[in-house]
Amino acid sequence: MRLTAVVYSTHIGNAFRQVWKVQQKRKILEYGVKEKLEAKGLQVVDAVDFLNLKRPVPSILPKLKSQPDEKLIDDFLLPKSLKKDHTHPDWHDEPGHVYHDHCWLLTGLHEAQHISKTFVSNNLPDRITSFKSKLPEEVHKQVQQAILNAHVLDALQVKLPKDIDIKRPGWNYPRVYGLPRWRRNVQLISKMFHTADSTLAGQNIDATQQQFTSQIMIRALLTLEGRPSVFEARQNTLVFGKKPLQPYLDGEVKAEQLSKPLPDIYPLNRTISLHGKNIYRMEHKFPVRQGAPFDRLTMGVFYINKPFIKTSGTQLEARLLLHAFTVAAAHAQQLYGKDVKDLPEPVTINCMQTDSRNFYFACFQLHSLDLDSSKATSNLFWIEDAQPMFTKCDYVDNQPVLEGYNPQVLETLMALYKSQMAAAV
Amino acid sequence: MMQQLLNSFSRLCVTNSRLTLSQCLSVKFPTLSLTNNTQPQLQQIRCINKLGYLTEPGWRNIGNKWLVKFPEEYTVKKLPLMKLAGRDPTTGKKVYGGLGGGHKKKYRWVDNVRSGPKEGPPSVEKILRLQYDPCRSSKIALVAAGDRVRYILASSTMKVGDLISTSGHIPRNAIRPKEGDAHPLGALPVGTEVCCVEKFVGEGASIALAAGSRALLVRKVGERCILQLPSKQELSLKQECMATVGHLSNEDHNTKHIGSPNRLRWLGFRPRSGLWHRKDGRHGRKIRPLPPIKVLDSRKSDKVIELPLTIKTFF
Repeated sequence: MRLTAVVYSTHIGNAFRQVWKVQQKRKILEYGVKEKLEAKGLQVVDAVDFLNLKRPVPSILPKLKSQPDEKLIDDFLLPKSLKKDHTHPDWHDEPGHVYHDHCWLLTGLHEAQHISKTFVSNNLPDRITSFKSKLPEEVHKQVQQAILNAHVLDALQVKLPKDIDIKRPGWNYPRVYGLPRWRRNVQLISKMFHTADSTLAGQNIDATQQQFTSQIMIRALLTLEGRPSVFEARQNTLVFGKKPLQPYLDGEVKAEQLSKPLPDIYPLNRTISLHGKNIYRMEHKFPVRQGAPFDRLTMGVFYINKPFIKTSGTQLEARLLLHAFTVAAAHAQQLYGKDVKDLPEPVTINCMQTDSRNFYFACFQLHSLDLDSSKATSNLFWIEDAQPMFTKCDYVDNQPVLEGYNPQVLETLMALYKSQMAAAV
Repeated sequence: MMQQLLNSFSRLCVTNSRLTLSQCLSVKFPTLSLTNNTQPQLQQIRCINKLGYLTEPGWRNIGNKWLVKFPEEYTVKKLPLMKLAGRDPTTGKKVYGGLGGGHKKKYRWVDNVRSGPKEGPPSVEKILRLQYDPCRSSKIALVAAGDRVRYILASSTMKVGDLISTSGHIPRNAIRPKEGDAHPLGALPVGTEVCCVEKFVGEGASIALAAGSRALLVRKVGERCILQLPSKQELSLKQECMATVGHLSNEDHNTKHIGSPNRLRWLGFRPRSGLWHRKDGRHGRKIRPLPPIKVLDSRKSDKVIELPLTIKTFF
């Protein structure tokens, strides 16, 4: 037997494939048959459309039985992730707008004003500024110690996310163990409230007339531009009291504020940052039941826990406005029913946003949940500029150092807090 | 000798599977080893689908440089990218050399189509951001209008907050264009600098897309516009082809010094061979007349459709 005869024989499969490569592309030339048929009154339909297929039919050839099964593991052993299509349990055919903790509005505060129909003032209301007063040195020392504890001296050590320097992309910094952001925020805020409570105790104000909740999902269901829209907030601490806050503005002054026009965002639509999504939950959520001993929301503290966020302009102020709106709307829906549009009494809350370095203080007064109404504005929002708590807080030569402490932050928080207490009495 | 050869063939033929073959070999040719690996290693299970582009939908090659996974709908999110190092994605063979390695990148889906209304007021977009794109030399602009956000190529005069307009109207007299706006070539006056020009109507820009590049509208003949490309060659296009007025951003891109051979590697290029000489060879100096005007899209009928037939052979 000659080996060469076997080796040189044509591989029929390869030969077929070569021929196929040349002849697979068929040009469809037009000979005017379609026009002639249509002139005779015959309808001409594309074959692909007729078969209702998007691509040409692949040839069906029998599979060889000798081919081994390629699967090594059975399907049921592999973890299954939910497909983001109509089989998802939270799928809705009608797309809705979703706002959540990690939504950043493209153009900032102006867009948030249009979404929530809110007029914005650049100062806190007079009632709160009247409560502002200087605090003794000892209190500030306590807070300075709290800042050091939260930023530097905390014993928790977690592997932190990768450090990024935009000027040196791809540079691998050593992975640092340290305090995560959420821990820093929660520690500092709880200590600040603790200090505020203890100072109020000396002024004959009962600080026990309130309760705190933390890290609880809040969801309000509204209609925006004729579509269902979901407003969610999770990274928060809420303060509840026995009595509601009195509205900051009323009567003619309120009407004058609400008659002013909103800033122009042409050519953008107000829902440009809230993309339409088909997967969302239509379930109202609020942490405290109506009729509970402390069921009136007085303050909301919102955290920025994500590191290395790139924000520009007034995106952070916009986040505070929409978070305050979310919380107030969920509270109003709990009080007056889910289909309420114009509230019988306004819902007023104080709010604060922080990444434990910069602090934003604001007040929000909710009058209406009708976002598609013909009125230009119906709600009110007061916000101050961001206040940095300190300039530097770190180890220098193995010593914890705090520089540039700003006493204004605690004094503003105390003013908000005192105004709530005065209302509760 | 022949007997041994035949024996070897028979062994290979009998033992088809990898497991039994390795056992056979170890019995026939025992080797000294420190570790007792009598159990043959089974096939490893792959956790990462490295050949995802063969099985997952949406992977599309951009030249022979990258494979990018495009979603079904347009998005401004960063898209995953695989480097091809000059290889053809289907055959795996080298098409051109000099590519390979480099820093990791993410792809930004730039929308090259700027189509406006043929009647009435033009469509207006606002520039939200001008940003760097690692996959191209010019800068890109994030623009928005209505409920639509997209990336376009940024021309040199664009600034954040500007409004740019796009119109498809061709008036009888040429308009006075503003830089950054998009118009059909027929609407622009002769002598205008344009960039991001379409070759075929509605297909998206494909001329003058690099940093600082521009084409010149030289003259108009009937319903056709003649364009001088950056390479000085002339091209005749339909007057409905859209073009952006002005030239593209990052003009000094070609004067920026790479600095070190290693930076060239970061950018994804391999070392040059050193064989290329500017003054001789096929790239050397030669004085030739420009080629004649190339006329594009002069057909009256539609394109010939090619339908590929597929077959699965079992050989």
